[in-house]
Amino acid sequence: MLPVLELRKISKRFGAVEVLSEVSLQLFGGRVHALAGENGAGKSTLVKIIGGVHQPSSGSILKDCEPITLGSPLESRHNGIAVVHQHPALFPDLTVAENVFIGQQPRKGGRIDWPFMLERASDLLARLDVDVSVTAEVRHLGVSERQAIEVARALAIDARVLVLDEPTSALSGNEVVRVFNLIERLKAEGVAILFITHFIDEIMKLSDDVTVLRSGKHIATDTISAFTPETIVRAMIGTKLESFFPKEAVAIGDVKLRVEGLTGAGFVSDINFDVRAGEILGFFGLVGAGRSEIAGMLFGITPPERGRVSLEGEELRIRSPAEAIRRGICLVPEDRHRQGLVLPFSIRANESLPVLRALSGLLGKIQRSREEAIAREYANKMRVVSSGIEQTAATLSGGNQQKVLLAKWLIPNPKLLILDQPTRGIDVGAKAEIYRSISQLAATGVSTILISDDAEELIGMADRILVFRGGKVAARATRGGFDRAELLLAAAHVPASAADVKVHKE
Amino acid sequence: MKAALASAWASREAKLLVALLAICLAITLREPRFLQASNLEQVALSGTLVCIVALGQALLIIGRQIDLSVGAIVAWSAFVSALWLSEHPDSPLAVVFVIGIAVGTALGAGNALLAAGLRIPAIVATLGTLAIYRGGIIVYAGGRQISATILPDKYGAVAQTHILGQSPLVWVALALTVVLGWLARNTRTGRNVYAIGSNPEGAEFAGIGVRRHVALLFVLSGMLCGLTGVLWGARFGTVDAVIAPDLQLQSISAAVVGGVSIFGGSGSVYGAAIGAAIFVVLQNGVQLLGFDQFWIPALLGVAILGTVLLYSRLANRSGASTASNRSSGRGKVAR
Repeated sequence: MLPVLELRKISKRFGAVEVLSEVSLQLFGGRVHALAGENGAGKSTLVKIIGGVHQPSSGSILKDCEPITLGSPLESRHNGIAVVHQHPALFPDLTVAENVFIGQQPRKGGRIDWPFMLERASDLLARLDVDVSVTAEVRHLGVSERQAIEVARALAIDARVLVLDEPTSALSGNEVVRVFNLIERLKAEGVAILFITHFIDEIMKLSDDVTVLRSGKHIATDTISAFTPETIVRAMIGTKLESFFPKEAVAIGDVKLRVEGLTGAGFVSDINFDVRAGEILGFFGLVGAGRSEIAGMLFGITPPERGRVSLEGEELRIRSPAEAIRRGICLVPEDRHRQGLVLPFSIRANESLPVLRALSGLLGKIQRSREEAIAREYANKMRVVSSGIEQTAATLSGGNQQKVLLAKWLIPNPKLLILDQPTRGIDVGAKAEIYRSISQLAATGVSTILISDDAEELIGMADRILVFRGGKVAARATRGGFDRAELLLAAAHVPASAADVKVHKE
Repeated sequence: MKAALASAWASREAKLLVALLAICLAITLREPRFLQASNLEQVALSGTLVCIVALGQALLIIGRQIDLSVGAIVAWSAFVSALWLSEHPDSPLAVVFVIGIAVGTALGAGNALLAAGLRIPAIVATLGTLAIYRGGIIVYAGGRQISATILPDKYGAVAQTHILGQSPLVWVALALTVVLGWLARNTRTGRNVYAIGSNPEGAEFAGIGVRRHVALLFVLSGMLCGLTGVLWGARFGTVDAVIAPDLQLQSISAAVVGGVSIFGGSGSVYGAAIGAAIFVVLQNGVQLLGFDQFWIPALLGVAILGTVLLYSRLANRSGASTASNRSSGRGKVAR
């Protein structure tokens, strides 16, 4: 079999920095090729070269064994290459059909040929087995449906090569299944698929071939049967994994936080749990199960309607984040760009933001030397890789931004730290740093609530796990009795997935 | 210290000062009358009034707010304080200032109530109060005009006397610029305002009372407008309900020309003050150079767009040169 698209010894330099060095890759029709690597391994640069955004410094690109150049995104499209990005760049106020054909609307006599466009869009969506109306506005759709529209957009140009850049990182369990089905379908139609993901499980499940990159270099390419999850991760990070989850044995102390009958945010009802000193309590569930809402209630973002919350035996009525911080509750929010960091601010100014009151003196003047000292101390503690504490947060990699975010919430010395998806979308190395910090923190007696979609992560880190479904606690498990299959089943009990699909159609 | 001087020189404010001097030079070359003491004094007096309002406007814009009602607030303050003085000519000037500032603060609090309390977007809230406040003062004044002839001389003297060769108004504006600029740059509240303007949701999650800060900014702006109203009467002598009709656009222009990002989160109070100076110098320049008065607004508009375009070009170029340069430049936002 001949490759549909072949990259031969592609190198890419930005100034003096070589981000890709002689990387080769072959994509075959009807096969899914997974691209694995940590953040900064060169995956996105490679995707951008295939998508025509960047041009290689050296090396050649062949389509059906003929050399081609991909000088612009348009040229890539003309060559039958479609790239689906991680966050679908759709137009929320336009209809599904308009989004599918944006920039390439079929025309008749200078006007958009609506009947033809609607019919073609229906056909494409039917081919993907996505059941949405082509006249629905995109803003009413769920994330997996949006992803499907991006794919339909790719199909509208009869793509022979489809690049999926982390298509599942923003999706929850059953939505992921739908994207997987879609990939299987396209594969059966003979499309060559390049699949980029952080999830090793997805690689094992979905791909036929795997290529691993590390620091811009080609490390390994083989069929999936030649790999195990451990060998892929090892190839990605280079050194042997010792213990990926550095959980320390901690003496669990007295009850710190007690939550009784917590109700609010519209659908969260009657939640009861407690967290002890030094304990890590895991919150597992699908997106929309109510986990972040509970975090929001404890942190004062949306005060609860009913229920009692007490910390160290004292009853709390928290109405604002400022109050939560004063009481010793800190939240590392889910969305680090919108909720977590002020991107134009320096590392220093981001870290000090919650504790400015303590760092300021007469007239509220911020004491710069103290601010710098504390920012530097915690940036070092979190091993933030940067040019210094004055580097702008926006220019850091995702993993380092997450480390800054964690540092920011360690500075107030929380009694209870709530971590909402602290490792989502970051590379293996940064994940390991964050797990290490969480463990160390627990060892000092801090109570932790760890919210995650990743069952593996909770099994590795938590002392107890609560599984949420539809705003209620669906199951509870204690360390030693964790069972991955049981957790998943409790979170995505069959009726829940049916209900989810219905919600999206409304 | 040397490093501090070097970084001050590299700052956007230093570049704006150079631009201001260049504009002055260009005008002088074509029309030497620009440098006459009487002309410079007029420019300085107009500049101070726009400047004081622009300080509050700049802080609002940095915090992702805007106040379109500033002109109407100035009119209220000017009319009420002048009316009171005309009826109580013996009352001390301090009382007049207190009345004017109180009126401005109250109207600013009205904006705060709508924008922070009821969460109406600032541009809509103040579009509403612009009409309400201006309509209100027109009804209240009922066509009355309070002229210098019925006001005691001490009022006008506030603008006309000289301290160290300048009108007291100039010193007031300078002092306010320095104080507010320092507070914005060095205090917790100042830092919080920048955080709110850059990322309101992130600020909320960091425990900052976003609505409290927004309310504070509107009250401060109202207070500054109140002060400006009293000074307005002192400078022009004659006060009625329709004074300062363009002040919202002038103050926003000053802030934008001074490098305050209209999207919030970046810029400085100092920049806005220099922007106000650039604005009035340009205004004076086109008048001096003998352009037909009907052309003046259009020429000013061209000048504003030109300044902003030039400024963004320069910013882009320095941003593209090196990554570290960019990060240090952006870092200034946080200072």
